[in-house]
Amino acid sequence: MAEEHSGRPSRVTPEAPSQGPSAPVSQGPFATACRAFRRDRTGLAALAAVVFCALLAAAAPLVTALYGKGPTAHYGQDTPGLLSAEGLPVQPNGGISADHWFGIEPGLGRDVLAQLLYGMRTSLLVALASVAVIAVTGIVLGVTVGYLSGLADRAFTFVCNVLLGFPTLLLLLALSPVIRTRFVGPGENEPAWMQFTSLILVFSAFGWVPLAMVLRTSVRALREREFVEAARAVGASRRHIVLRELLPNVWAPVLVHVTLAVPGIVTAEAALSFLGVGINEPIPDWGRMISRGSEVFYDDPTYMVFPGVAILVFVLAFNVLGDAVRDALDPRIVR
Amino acid sequence: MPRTRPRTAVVPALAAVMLLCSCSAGSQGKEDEAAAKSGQRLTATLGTAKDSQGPAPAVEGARSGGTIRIANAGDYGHLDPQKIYAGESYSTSLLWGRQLTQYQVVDGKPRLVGDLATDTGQSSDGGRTWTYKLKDGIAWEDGEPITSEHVKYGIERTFAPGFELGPTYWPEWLTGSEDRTAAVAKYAGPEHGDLGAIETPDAKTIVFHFPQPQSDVPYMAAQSSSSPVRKDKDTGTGYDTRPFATGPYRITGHKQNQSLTLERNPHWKPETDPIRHQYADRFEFTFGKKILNTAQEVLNGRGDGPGTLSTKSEVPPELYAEARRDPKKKDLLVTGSQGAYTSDLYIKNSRVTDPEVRKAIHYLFPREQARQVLGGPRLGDFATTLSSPAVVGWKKYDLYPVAPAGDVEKAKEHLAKAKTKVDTLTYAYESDAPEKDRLAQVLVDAFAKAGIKLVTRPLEKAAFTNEVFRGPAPYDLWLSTNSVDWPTPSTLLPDSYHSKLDALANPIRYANPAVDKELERIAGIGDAQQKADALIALEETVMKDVPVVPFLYTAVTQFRGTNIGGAAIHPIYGSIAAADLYLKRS
Repeated sequence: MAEEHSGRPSRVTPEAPSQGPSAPVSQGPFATACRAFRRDRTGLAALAAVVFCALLAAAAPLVTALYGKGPTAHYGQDTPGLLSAEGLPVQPNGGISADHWFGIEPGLGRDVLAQLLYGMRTSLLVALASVAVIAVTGIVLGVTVGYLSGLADRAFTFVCNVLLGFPTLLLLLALSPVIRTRFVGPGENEPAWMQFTSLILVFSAFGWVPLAMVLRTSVRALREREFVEAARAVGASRRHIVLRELLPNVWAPVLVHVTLAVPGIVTAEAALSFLGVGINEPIPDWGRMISRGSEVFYDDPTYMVFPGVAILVFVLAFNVLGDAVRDALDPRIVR
Repeated sequence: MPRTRPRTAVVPALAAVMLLCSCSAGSQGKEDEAAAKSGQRLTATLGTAKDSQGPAPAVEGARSGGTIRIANAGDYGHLDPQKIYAGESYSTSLLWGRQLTQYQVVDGKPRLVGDLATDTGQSSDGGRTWTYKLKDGIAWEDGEPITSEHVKYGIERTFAPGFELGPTYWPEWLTGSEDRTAAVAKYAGPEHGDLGAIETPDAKTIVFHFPQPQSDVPYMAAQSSSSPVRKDKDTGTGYDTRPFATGPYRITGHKQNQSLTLERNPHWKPETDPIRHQYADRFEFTFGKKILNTAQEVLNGRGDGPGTLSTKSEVPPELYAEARRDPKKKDLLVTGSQGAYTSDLYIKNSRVTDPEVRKAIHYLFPREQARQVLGGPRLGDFATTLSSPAVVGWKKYDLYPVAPAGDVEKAKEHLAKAKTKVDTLTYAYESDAPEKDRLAQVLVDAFAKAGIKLVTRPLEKAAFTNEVFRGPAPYDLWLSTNSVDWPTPSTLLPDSYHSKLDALANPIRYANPAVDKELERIAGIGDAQQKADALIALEETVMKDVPVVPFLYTAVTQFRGTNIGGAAIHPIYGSIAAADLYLKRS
């Protein structure tokens, strides 16, 4: 937690705790946090943007059906007059027209808007699935090890250090062709679920470490607190102590970590696809769109704008939301 | 990975992008009038003894002096004349190496003439004996005259261990063997004595005796492996980095993977050489710089750019459209047909056995879209024949005419006629460039229109040949760019379409007993013209089976600095001919 705070100016107004309607003593920490969050306008805007993105991604097939374009159809190649013989859009500004609102992709001539919408699905699917696995693994391991300490703690620290030292990117670069040749028969395409699963597995395999380490530290501090001692003194079981006494006290860091992990994974996934080891053709993907944009940057710079801005807005919204969640939950500021 | 917080890094980068891309001009779909006309006949003719006399026809406006810089992305794998086996290396090695014969290029037209020899060779005994006379005044870089012994020693080296990478024709022809392994069993190289099949009655005469009639000796004599080598200068593996010169330039320095310096060879006499010029004082090759950077320097005239060119690389695709738009840069593009190269869609005939299905593939293949996604007309004209227009005797034919975008209806008709129902095909490709992924998507789209599911298999570049060519490989289609070893049809059908050939030579496993029989008959023809005619006639028989789908007669687009004159694509070797270059100002 502490390291995440460094260098970031406090956004919540200092008078917030004193000016709010005086909280009844019985109100839980989450209700307080919700109230604090509701006062944070930037946070609310970010939440709105995130919800909007999520809705668009979920409803991508519906939206593209209304728009009348598919994400994988090669419009520029099938319709004469859209692409030049070299594969560049004939219309200025990347082929933006009434038919193709965001223009068409140089080369294959796919619709950029449809690609963007479906690309967001790809990003969100990978990020949310990875974050779910990260949260479960991180919580289980972090809380358990924090409570147990001793040999388990030493083993845990060692494993964490190994994982943190792992060259993840190189591993993926080396692994992806191996997966392709080993697990996919020569007569079949690499199934989409396999591409997604391997990405999610790699992100979660390395992503749970920071969360687990944060939780371990918090739980270690909590373990010596009076309420845990009291529970132990009245003979509560280990399970009870972990689940009922410790876990409710670490929700805040979990929530913050999870919200901030999503944009990290989205950019990491885009980077991998940019390098050609993420999601492959024909599944729409933002990283690959940016990679294509860099290839044709001199001739069709417009094409780079849309995936670039999309990633920027998406990641920014999640980051601002993460900050807002943290501010709302941080006991030092809110309470 | 999620540990790195991306927000600080992403924001400025994307802001920069947004600033830059406020607008981009449309590409107004102009016809690419400057694209190389690679579909036109470009056949080499045989020159006479008179044509073989030097000096070479002067390049118009050429001046003497100065240093020409050649910036290539990588060093030459081999400089040893008997190991060189690639078009650009052939072309550039003409600067320091001479052969028995060579291609003289006048107005872009190639003509085979005698180089060290006085003519392209005299055959007797039905093509079993070939005699060459060496010219007077030809000399090594130390002034010693080149003798027939030196030529013989050079050719003998092709039998030796370590020379497996070069062309195998001399060992096979001189011993009458099926392949090189059988040939070296009969004679294992100059370490093991004298090769009886090459006679040197005097210092100026060299006589080849072949067990079987050979009609293409004049062309083989132009290959780098027909260069003379002096026994006392043969440094073994060291010869591969610094060969001893016979041409207009000699190698004065070679730091591997860094630089190669050539200076004028004072013992080379222009009146003996009908091919090469000696305009520049020096050539400086540099290796290792990214071609995108070199091309930007050259096209914008920055730094050494005006006096620089690349003989190996093409204009990077990122810069091509811009260079075409800007008339000043357009002037610096050097386009031409890439020798006898063709690009074809290969069909594994042992897997797609039904000719009707192969015909359907022929009609389905979206040539236009495929070329568009790979870069457009600069890649070359659409092909309808197996052999390239640069091949002697080439005839244009189009057995199954089809629109460049493909013809789904025709394809469906042929699929309906097929005895075996095909609903899935596998397309393999090298996964080293994203445009190949996109090409795969183009094909998936096209084949889906006829109800065929195309499975795409990206393979590692290094493993591609091994994976796809081996006999039981499970892939039906792949794209392949090929060339003949010299511009006659003799190495095309006999070396790739006989059923007895191994999977490396005949990767599509084409097998037609009638074709085999005809090929065996043609192998016995000693007359070059008759042989070429018979092979060209056979080509149509082969193509009736649709063993491959012709795609492109490939063309290249290279670049030169503003100060470089005489730059043109060599019609046989398919890259800028270094021996014609000069500096406009020095």
